[in-house]
Amino acid sequence: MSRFEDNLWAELERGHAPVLLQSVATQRRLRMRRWMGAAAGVVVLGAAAVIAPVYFGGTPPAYAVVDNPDGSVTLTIREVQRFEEATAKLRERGIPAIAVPLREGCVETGRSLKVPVAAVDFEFTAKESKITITPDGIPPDATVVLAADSGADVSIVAGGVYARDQLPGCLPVRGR
Amino acid sequence: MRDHEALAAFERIYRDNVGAISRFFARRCVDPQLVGDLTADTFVRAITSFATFDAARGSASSWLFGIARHTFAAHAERSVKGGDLVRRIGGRRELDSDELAELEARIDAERPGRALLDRLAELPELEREAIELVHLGGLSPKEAAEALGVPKGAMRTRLYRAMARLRAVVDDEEEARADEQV
Repeated sequence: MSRFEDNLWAELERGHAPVLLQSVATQRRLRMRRWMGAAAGVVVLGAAAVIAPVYFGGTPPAYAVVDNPDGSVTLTIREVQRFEEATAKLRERGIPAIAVPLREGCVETGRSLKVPVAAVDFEFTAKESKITITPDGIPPDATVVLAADSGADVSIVAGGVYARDQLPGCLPVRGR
Repeated sequence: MRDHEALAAFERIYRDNVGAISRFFARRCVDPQLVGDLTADTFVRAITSFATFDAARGSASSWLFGIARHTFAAHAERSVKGGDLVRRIGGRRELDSDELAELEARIDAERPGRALLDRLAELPELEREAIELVHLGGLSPKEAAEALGVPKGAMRTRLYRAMARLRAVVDDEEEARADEQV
Protein backbone atom coordinates (compact mmCIF):
# COMPACT_ATOMS: atom_id res chain seq x y z
CA MET A 1 0.00 0.00 0.00
CA SER A 2 1.49 3.32 -1.05
CA ARG A 3 1.79 6.46 1.05
CA PHE A 4 -0.98 8.10 -0.95
CA GLU A 5 -3.30 5.15 -0.37
CA ASP A 6 -2.53 4.96 3.35
CA ASN A 7 -3.05 8.70 3.78
CA LEU A 8 -6.30 8.60 1.85
CA TRP A 9 -7.57 5.75 4.01
CA ALA A 10 -6.68 7.70 7.16
CA GLU A 11 -8.56 10.69 5.74
CA LEU A 12 -11.61 8.57 4.90
CA GLU A 13 -11.64 6.89 8.28
CA ARG A 14 -11.24 10.15 10.14
CA GLY A 15 -13.71 12.20 8.13
CA HIS A 16 -16.31 9.76 6.89
CA ALA A 17 -16.39 6.61 9.02
CA PRO A 18 -19.09 8.13 11.29
CA VAL A 19 -21.30 8.66 8.23
CA LEU A 20 -20.78 5.05 7.17
CA LEU A 21 -21.56 3.73 10.65
CA GLN A 22 -24.64 5.91 10.92
CA SER A 23 -26.00 4.90 7.52
CA VAL A 24 -25.38 1.20 8.21
CA ALA A 25 -27.22 1.54 11.52
CA THR A 26 -30.09 3.34 9.79
CA GLN A 27 -30.38 0.62 7.16
CA ARG A 28 -30.40 -2.02 9.88
CA ARG A 29 -33.09 -0.18 11.84
CA LEU A 30 -35.24 0.04 8.71
CA ARG A 31 -34.94 -3.70 8.20
CA MET A 32 -35.52 -4.42 11.87
CA ARG A 33 -38.59 -2.22 11.98
CA ARG A 34 -40.20 -4.63 9.55
CA TRP A 35 -39.20 -7.53 11.74
CA MET A 36 -40.29 -5.99 15.01
CA GLY A 37 -43.62 -4.99 13.53
CA ALA A 38 -44.10 -8.55 12.44
CA ALA A 39 -43.09 -9.99 15.78
CA ALA A 40 -45.35 -7.72 17.76
CA GLY A 41 -48.41 -7.81 15.62
CA VAL A 42 -47.70 -11.13 14.06
CA VAL A 43 -46.24 -11.96 11.07
CA VAL A 44 -45.72 -10.60 7.69
CA LEU A 45 -42.17 -9.45 7.56
CA GLY A 46 -43.02 -7.00 4.97
CA ALA A 47 -41.29 -7.66 1.80
CA ALA A 48 -42.55 -10.17 -0.63
CA ALA A 49 -39.93 -11.75 -2.78
CA VAL A 50 -40.54 -12.72 -6.36
CA ILE A 51 -38.89 -16.04 -6.86
CA ALA A 52 -38.17 -17.02 -10.42
CA PRO A 53 -39.11 -20.63 -11.12
CA VAL A 54 -36.43 -21.01 -13.77
CA TYR A 55 -32.81 -20.08 -13.49
CA PHE A 56 -30.50 -19.31 -16.34
CA GLY A 57 -26.93 -20.48 -16.35
CA GLY A 58 -25.86 -22.32 -13.21
CA THR A 59 -28.72 -23.32 -10.96
CA PRO A 60 -28.34 -21.84 -7.49
CA PRO A 61 -29.32 -24.07 -4.58
CA ALA A 62 -32.88 -23.91 -3.27
CA TYR A 63 -31.51 -22.69 0.03
CA ALA A 64 -28.24 -22.20 1.84
CA VAL A 65 -27.34 -21.97 5.51
CA VAL A 66 -24.13 -20.15 6.32
CA ASP A 67 -22.36 -19.75 9.66
CA ASN A 68 -21.08 -16.18 9.95
CA PRO A 69 -17.87 -15.29 11.78
CA ASP A 70 -19.79 -13.33 14.41
CA GLY A 71 -21.78 -16.41 15.44
CA SER A 72 -24.92 -15.51 13.53
CA VAL A 73 -26.40 -17.87 10.96
CA THR A 74 -27.83 -16.79 7.62
CA LEU A 75 -30.50 -18.76 5.82
CA THR A 76 -30.86 -17.82 2.17
CA ILE A 77 -34.02 -19.22 0.65
CA ARG A 78 -34.76 -19.24 -3.06
CA GLU A 79 -37.40 -21.94 -3.36
CA VAL A 80 -40.04 -21.73 -0.69
CA GLN A 81 -41.11 -25.30 -1.42
CA ARG A 82 -37.98 -26.34 0.49
CA PHE A 83 -38.62 -23.96 3.37
CA GLU A 84 -39.32 -26.61 5.97
CA GLU A 85 -36.15 -28.49 5.09
CA ALA A 86 -34.17 -25.25 5.24
CA THR A 87 -35.57 -24.45 8.67
CA ALA A 88 -34.53 -27.90 9.88
CA LYS A 89 -30.95 -26.98 8.93
CA LEU A 90 -31.21 -24.02 11.29
CA ARG A 91 -32.21 -26.37 14.10
CA GLU A 92 -29.21 -28.56 13.32
CA ARG A 93 -27.09 -25.49 14.10
CA GLY A 94 -28.77 -25.00 17.42
CA ILE A 95 -31.13 -22.23 16.31
CA PRO A 96 -34.58 -22.72 17.84
CA ALA A 97 -36.58 -22.30 14.64
CA ILE A 98 -39.64 -23.99 13.24
CA ALA A 99 -41.59 -23.64 10.01
CA VAL A 100 -45.37 -23.40 10.06
CA PRO A 101 -47.88 -22.96 7.22
CA LEU A 102 -48.62 -19.47 6.00
CA ARG A 103 -52.32 -19.25 5.28
CA GLU A 104 -54.98 -16.74 4.40
CA GLY A 105 -57.39 -16.51 7.33
CA CYS A 106 -55.09 -18.25 9.80
CA VAL A 107 -56.10 -17.37 13.35
CA GLU A 108 -52.76 -16.86 14.99
CA THR A 109 -52.70 -18.20 18.51
CA GLY A 110 -49.05 -17.94 19.53
CA ARG A 111 -47.61 -15.49 22.03
CA SER A 112 -45.14 -13.25 20.25
CA LEU A 113 -42.13 -11.85 22.10
CA LYS A 114 -40.08 -8.74 21.65
CA VAL A 115 -36.49 -9.57 20.82
CA PRO A 116 -33.30 -7.51 20.78
CA VAL A 117 -32.87 -5.53 17.60
CA ALA A 118 -29.85 -7.53 16.49
CA ALA A 119 -31.46 -10.94 17.02
CA VAL A 120 -33.03 -11.38 13.62
CA ASP A 121 -32.27 -9.52 10.43
CA PHE A 122 -33.98 -9.78 7.07
CA GLU A 123 -32.99 -8.86 3.56
CA PHE A 124 -35.18 -9.36 0.55
CA THR A 125 -34.23 -9.17 -3.09
CA ALA A 126 -36.10 -10.13 -6.21
CA LYS A 127 -34.62 -13.62 -6.21
CA GLU A 128 -34.11 -14.61 -2.62
CA SER A 129 -34.85 -13.90 1.00
CA LYS A 130 -32.11 -13.84 3.64
CA ILE A 131 -32.78 -14.35 7.30
CA THR A 132 -29.85 -13.81 9.67
CA ILE A 133 -30.35 -15.01 13.22
CA THR A 134 -28.02 -14.27 16.12
CA PRO A 135 -28.62 -17.14 18.55
CA ASP A 136 -27.48 -15.13 21.57
CA GLY A 137 -30.26 -12.63 20.89
CA ILE A 138 -33.03 -15.22 21.09
CA PRO A 139 -34.37 -15.62 24.64
CA PRO A 140 -33.95 -19.14 26.07
CA ASP A 141 -37.69 -19.67 26.25
CA ALA A 142 -38.35 -18.49 22.70
CA THR A 143 -38.56 -20.00 19.24
CA VAL A 144 -38.21 -18.31 15.88
CA VAL A 145 -41.30 -19.15 13.86
CA LEU A 146 -40.94 -18.85 10.11
CA ALA A 147 -43.45 -19.35 7.34
CA ALA A 148 -43.45 -19.07 3.59
CA ASP A 149 -45.94 -19.43 0.82
CA SER A 150 -45.59 -19.18 -2.91
CA GLY A 151 -48.44 -17.74 -4.91
CA ALA A 152 -48.66 -17.56 -8.66
CA ASP A 153 -45.67 -15.30 -9.04
CA VAL A 154 -44.91 -14.04 -5.59
CA SER A 155 -43.53 -15.76 -2.53
CA ILE A 156 -43.93 -14.41 0.95
CA VAL A 157 -41.58 -15.12 3.80
CA ALA A 158 -42.88 -14.24 7.24
CA GLY A 159 -41.99 -14.87 10.83
CA GLY A 160 -41.77 -13.82 14.41
CA VAL A 161 -40.29 -14.81 17.76
CA TYR A 162 -42.74 -16.67 20.01
CA ALA A 163 -42.83 -18.11 23.49
CA ARG A 164 -41.88 -21.77 23.24
CA ASP A 165 -44.85 -22.82 25.37
CA GLN A 166 -47.30 -20.99 23.12
CA LEU A 167 -46.27 -21.45 19.52
CA PRO A 168 -48.61 -20.65 16.65
CA GLY A 169 -49.79 -23.50 14.40
CA CYS A 170 -49.84 -21.22 11.38
CA LEU A 171 -49.17 -17.64 10.47
CA PRO A 172 -51.66 -15.46 8.61
CA VAL A 173 -50.95 -13.76 5.30
CA ARG A 174 -51.18 -10.04 5.80
CA GLY A 175 -50.23 -6.88 4.00
CA ARG A 176 -48.87 -8.44 0.88
CA MET B 1 -23.71 -6.44 9.34
CA ARG B 2 -22.46 -4.92 12.58
CA ASP B 3 -20.96 -1.43 12.64
CA HIS B 4 -17.31 -2.40 13.12
CA GLU B 5 -17.71 -5.12 10.50
CA ALA B 6 -19.06 -2.58 8.03
CA LEU B 7 -16.03 -0.35 8.45
CA ALA B 8 -13.66 -3.33 8.20
CA ALA B 9 -15.50 -4.57 5.09
CA PHE B 10 -15.22 -1.16 3.49
CA GLU B 11 -11.51 -0.98 4.30
CA ARG B 12 -10.97 -4.36 2.59
CA ILE B 13 -12.83 -3.12 -0.47
CA TYR B 14 -10.82 0.09 -0.41
CA ARG B 15 -7.47 -1.65 -0.19
CA ASP B 16 -8.40 -4.19 -2.88
CA ASN B 17 -9.50 -1.52 -5.33
CA VAL B 18 -7.80 1.80 -4.66
CA GLY B 19 -4.92 0.98 -6.98
CA ALA B 20 -7.18 0.10 -9.90
CA ILE B 21 -9.36 3.15 -9.34
CA SER B 22 -6.39 5.54 -9.22
CA ARG B 23 -5.05 3.95 -12.43
CA PHE B 24 -8.47 4.51 -14.01
CA PHE B 25 -8.00 8.24 -13.40
CA ALA B 26 -4.30 8.12 -14.31
CA ARG B 27 -5.39 7.06 -17.80
CA ARG B 28 -7.49 10.20 -18.05
CA CYS B 29 -5.48 12.91 -16.32
CA VAL B 30 -1.80 13.78 -16.23
CA ASP B 31 -2.01 16.03 -13.16
CA PRO B 32 -1.15 13.89 -10.12
CA GLN B 33 -3.05 16.16 -7.73
CA LEU B 34 -6.17 15.77 -9.87
CA VAL B 35 -5.74 11.97 -10.02
CA GLY B 36 -5.51 12.01 -6.23
CA ASP B 37 -8.56 14.27 -5.89
CA LEU B 38 -10.72 12.17 -8.19
CA THR B 39 -9.65 8.95 -6.47
CA ALA B 40 -10.48 10.49 -3.10
CA ASP B 41 -13.79 11.80 -4.40
CA THR B 42 -14.72 8.32 -5.62
CA PHE B 43 -14.04 6.75 -2.24
CA VAL B 44 -15.83 9.52 -0.35
CA ARG B 45 -18.91 8.82 -2.47
CA ALA B 46 -18.43 5.11 -1.88
CA ILE B 47 -18.03 5.27 1.89
CA THR B 48 -21.04 7.53 2.31
CA SER B 49 -23.25 5.19 0.26
CA PHE B 50 -21.75 1.89 1.41
CA ALA B 51 -24.83 1.01 3.46
CA THR B 52 -26.79 0.62 0.24
CA PHE B 53 -24.15 -1.49 -1.51
CA ASP B 54 -25.56 -4.95 -2.16
CA ALA B 55 -23.00 -7.61 -3.04
CA ALA B 56 -25.82 -9.77 -4.42
CA ARG B 57 -26.32 -7.24 -7.20
CA GLY B 58 -22.71 -6.97 -8.27
CA SER B 59 -19.11 -7.04 -7.15
CA ALA B 60 -17.47 -4.27 -5.15
CA SER B 61 -15.12 -3.62 -8.08
CA SER B 62 -17.93 -3.03 -10.54
CA TRP B 63 -19.71 -0.85 -7.95
CA LEU B 64 -16.58 1.28 -7.47
CA PHE B 65 -15.83 1.57 -11.17
CA GLY B 66 -19.43 2.70 -11.66
CA ILE B 67 -18.86 5.44 -9.06
CA ALA B 68 -15.51 6.34 -10.65
CA ARG B 69 -17.17 6.77 -14.05
CA HIS B 70 -19.74 9.13 -12.56
CA THR B 71 -17.06 11.00 -10.65
CA PHE B 72 -15.06 11.55 -13.81
CA ALA B 73 -18.15 12.53 -15.81
CA ALA B 74 -19.06 15.09 -13.14
CA HIS B 75 -15.50 16.42 -13.17
CA ALA B 76 -15.54 16.69 -16.98
CA GLU B 77 -18.84 18.55 -16.86
CA ARG B 78 -17.52 20.98 -14.26
CA SER B 79 -14.39 21.51 -16.32
CA VAL B 80 -16.47 22.39 -19.37
CA LYS B 81 -18.56 24.78 -17.31
CA GLY B 82 -15.61 26.80 -16.15
CA GLY B 83 -12.70 25.22 -14.51
CA ASP B 84 -11.87 22.32 -12.33
CA LEU B 85 -13.65 22.75 -9.05
CA VAL B 86 -13.12 19.28 -7.66
CA ARG B 87 -10.42 20.33 -5.27
CA ARG B 88 -12.34 23.24 -3.82
CA ILE B 89 -15.69 21.46 -3.72
CA GLY B 90 -14.25 18.36 -2.16
CA GLY B 91 -12.07 20.30 0.24
CA ARG B 92 -9.19 18.02 -0.63
CA ARG B 93 -5.85 18.45 0.99
CA GLU B 94 -2.79 19.16 -1.06
CA LEU B 95 -0.78 16.00 -1.60
CA ASP B 96 2.75 15.98 -0.27
CA SER B 97 5.75 15.51 -2.53
CA ASP B 98 6.02 11.75 -1.90
CA GLU B 99 2.39 11.21 -2.78
CA LEU B 100 2.71 13.36 -5.90
CA ALA B 101 5.76 11.34 -6.94
CA GLU B 102 3.84 8.08 -6.49
CA LEU B 103 0.96 9.30 -8.58
CA GLU B 104 3.28 10.72 -11.22
CA ALA B 105 4.84 7.27 -11.51
CA ARG B 106 1.39 5.77 -11.82
CA ILE B 107 0.43 8.26 -14.53
CA ASP B 108 3.63 7.43 -16.33
CA ALA B 109 2.95 3.71 -16.07
CA GLU B 110 -0.47 4.22 -17.60
CA ARG B 111 0.95 5.76 -20.78
CA PRO B 112 0.25 2.62 -22.82
CA GLY B 113 -3.29 2.63 -21.43
CA ARG B 114 -3.79 6.24 -22.51
CA ALA B 115 -2.43 5.35 -25.94
CA LEU B 116 -4.93 2.51 -26.19
CA LEU B 117 -7.76 4.83 -25.18
CA ASP B 118 -6.65 7.27 -27.88
CA ARG B 119 -6.79 4.49 -30.42
CA LEU B 120 -10.28 3.65 -29.25
CA ALA B 121 -11.43 7.26 -29.47
CA GLU B 122 -13.55 6.64 -32.53
CA LEU B 123 -15.46 3.76 -30.97
CA PRO B 124 -18.83 4.35 -29.33
CA GLU B 125 -18.33 5.35 -25.70
CA LEU B 126 -19.72 2.15 -24.20
CA GLU B 127 -17.54 -0.06 -26.39
CA ARG B 128 -14.51 1.99 -25.46
CA GLU B 129 -15.31 1.72 -21.78
CA ALA B 130 -16.03 -1.99 -22.07
CA ILE B 131 -12.57 -2.64 -23.49
CA GLU B 132 -10.94 -0.43 -20.91
CA LEU B 133 -12.67 -2.00 -17.93
CA VAL B 134 -11.93 -5.54 -19.06
CA HIS B 135 -8.47 -5.19 -20.62
CA LEU B 136 -7.01 -2.40 -18.51
CA GLY B 137 -9.18 -2.32 -15.40
CA GLY B 138 -9.04 -6.06 -14.82
CA LEU B 139 -12.79 -6.55 -14.46
CA SER B 140 -14.50 -9.65 -15.77
CA PRO B 141 -16.99 -9.06 -18.62
CA LYS B 142 -19.77 -9.67 -16.08
CA GLU B 143 -18.38 -7.02 -13.71
CA ALA B 144 -17.88 -4.59 -16.60
CA ALA B 145 -21.53 -5.11 -17.55
CA GLU B 146 -22.53 -4.29 -13.96
CA ALA B 147 -20.33 -1.19 -13.88
CA LEU B 148 -21.72 0.08 -17.17
CA GLY B 149 -25.29 -0.92 -16.39
CA VAL B 150 -25.76 -3.07 -19.48
CA PRO B 151 -26.97 -6.69 -19.74
CA LYS B 152 -24.26 -9.36 -19.72
CA GLY B 153 -25.17 -10.60 -23.18
CA ALA B 154 -24.96 -7.09 -24.57
CA MET B 155 -21.54 -6.70 -22.95
CA ARG B 156 -20.20 -9.77 -24.74
CA THR B 157 -21.46 -8.36 -28.04
CA ARG B 158 -19.93 -4.96 -27.33
CA LEU B 159 -16.58 -6.47 -26.41
CA TYR B 160 -16.51 -8.64 -29.51
CA ARG B 161 -17.45 -5.71 -31.71
CA ALA B 162 -15.00 -3.37 -30.01
CA MET B 163 -12.13 -5.84 -30.33
CA ALA B 164 -12.91 -6.29 -34.03
CA ARG B 165 -12.84 -2.51 -34.53
CA LEU B 166 -9.65 -2.20 -32.53
CA ARG B 167 -8.00 -4.81 -34.73
CA ALA B 168 -9.13 -2.85 -37.78
CA VAL B 169 -7.63 0.35 -36.32
CA VAL B 170 -4.32 -1.40 -35.63
CA ASP B 171 -4.29 -2.91 -39.12
CA ASP B 172 -4.90 0.52 -40.66
CA GLU B 173 -2.09 2.04 -38.60
CA GLU B 174 0.32 -0.71 -39.61
CA GLU B 175 -0.69 -0.33 -43.23
CA ALA B 176 -0.13 3.43 -43.06
CA ARG B 177 3.29 2.91 -41.46
CA ALA B 178 4.23 0.41 -44.15
CA ASP B 179 3.15 2.89 -46.84
CA GLU B 180 5.31 5.59 -45.24
CA GLN B 181 8.32 3.29 -45.28
CA VAL B 182 7.82 2.49 -48.96
